[in-house]
Amino acid sequence: MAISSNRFIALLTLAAALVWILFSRVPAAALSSQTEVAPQKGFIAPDLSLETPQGERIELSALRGKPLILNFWASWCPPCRAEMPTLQALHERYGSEFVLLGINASTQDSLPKAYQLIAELNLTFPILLDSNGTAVSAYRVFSLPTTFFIDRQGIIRDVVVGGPLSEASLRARLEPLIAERP
Amino acid sequence: MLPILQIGPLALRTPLLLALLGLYVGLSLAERRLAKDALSVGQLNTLVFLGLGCGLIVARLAFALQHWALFVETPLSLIALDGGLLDPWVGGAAGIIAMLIYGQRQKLSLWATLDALTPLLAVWVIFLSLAFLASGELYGTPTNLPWGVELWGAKRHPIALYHALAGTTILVSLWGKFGKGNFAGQVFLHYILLTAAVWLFLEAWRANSPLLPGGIRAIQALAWLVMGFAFWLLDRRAKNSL
Repeated sequence: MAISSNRFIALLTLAAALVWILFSRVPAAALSSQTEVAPQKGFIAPDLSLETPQGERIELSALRGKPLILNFWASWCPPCRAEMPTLQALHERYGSEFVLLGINASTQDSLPKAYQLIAELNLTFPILLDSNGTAVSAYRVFSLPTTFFIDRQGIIRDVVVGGPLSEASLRARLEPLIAERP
Repeated sequence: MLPILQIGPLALRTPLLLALLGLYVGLSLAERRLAKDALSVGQLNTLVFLGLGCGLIVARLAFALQHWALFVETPLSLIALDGGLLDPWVGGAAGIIAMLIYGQRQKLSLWATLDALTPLLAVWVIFLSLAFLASGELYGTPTNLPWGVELWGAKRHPIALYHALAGTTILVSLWGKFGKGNFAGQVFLHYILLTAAVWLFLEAWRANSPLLPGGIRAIQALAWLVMGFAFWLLDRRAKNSL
């Protein structure tokens, strides 16, 4: 008797759960394109407009159509320094297949030391100066280094807080983005 | 949200810390709540660490096999401290298989062992929910409710916190039953049933649910199947114990 009443409760619970699943399914309208902007996986990457040390202004929105890696760094941060040669190797290996931007957290760094590190490591990928902290704030960078992987549509596909990132780690995240043809 | 805990020059990953703390607290509780006729404390520890160790190693090897060209060029990446270089599904399966093999060799009862692992699971799930709260990776749909939290450009349901609270409620409700089920496997199956029900219910407020065709949330569909299976097993084991 107890077992058959338990079975009835189980069936009733499963039926109610099924109704809940159907009731809470995501409506078709919400399945369409992603429009929310936030520094998190699955959202559109916040736009930025920053200058290089040479004074050239780069806007993130103008780079749509190519996979993008944003690496936030500072010269005093040992893991940032350690992963720079790997980032440079990646830049040399894949060339124009993707864009790599090193964003210097300039409000937390000394510019002469940052320039010294760029020269010392022969970095040739674009470095942007976040002189007033807008990029760090827009991307909610809590710790350095922080690296964002952004696809051709401008959607953030992965965020890695901390480092140094290994070459395999970077390539395992970048290569699928390059492989996705527009 | 607190993805990094900065202590002087040390930047500690809060989610990882919480996951490790959950493992420690959960294992301590499981040791205290072991039934007399179940496995020993030594066997419990070996089982857990063997499962975790094998799971981690196989997860990395499986990932490396899928990206073998990268790892041939940079073999040291095999030991890189990077959670992104893991295949969690293959690793999880390998961990479970390793635990099953160990259990069989030690002639452990499957259901009594699962009951013994339930306190660990119950505590760990709470800490994992808190880890997701810290990382901000599990976030809810926008809301105007007063307890909504400002996250990713909107005031949202604190879904990870809901999970932590629900997990705590389940732990408290099962507290007196640890090591004292009417039949072996009862506590474990009750825990699985309640947890699946919570996931099925709360998933409705999750903003980043993986979806099936028709907008059905995949986690809800999986939780429904788990609930059905747990009900069936409970019914069968209750009948066998009569």
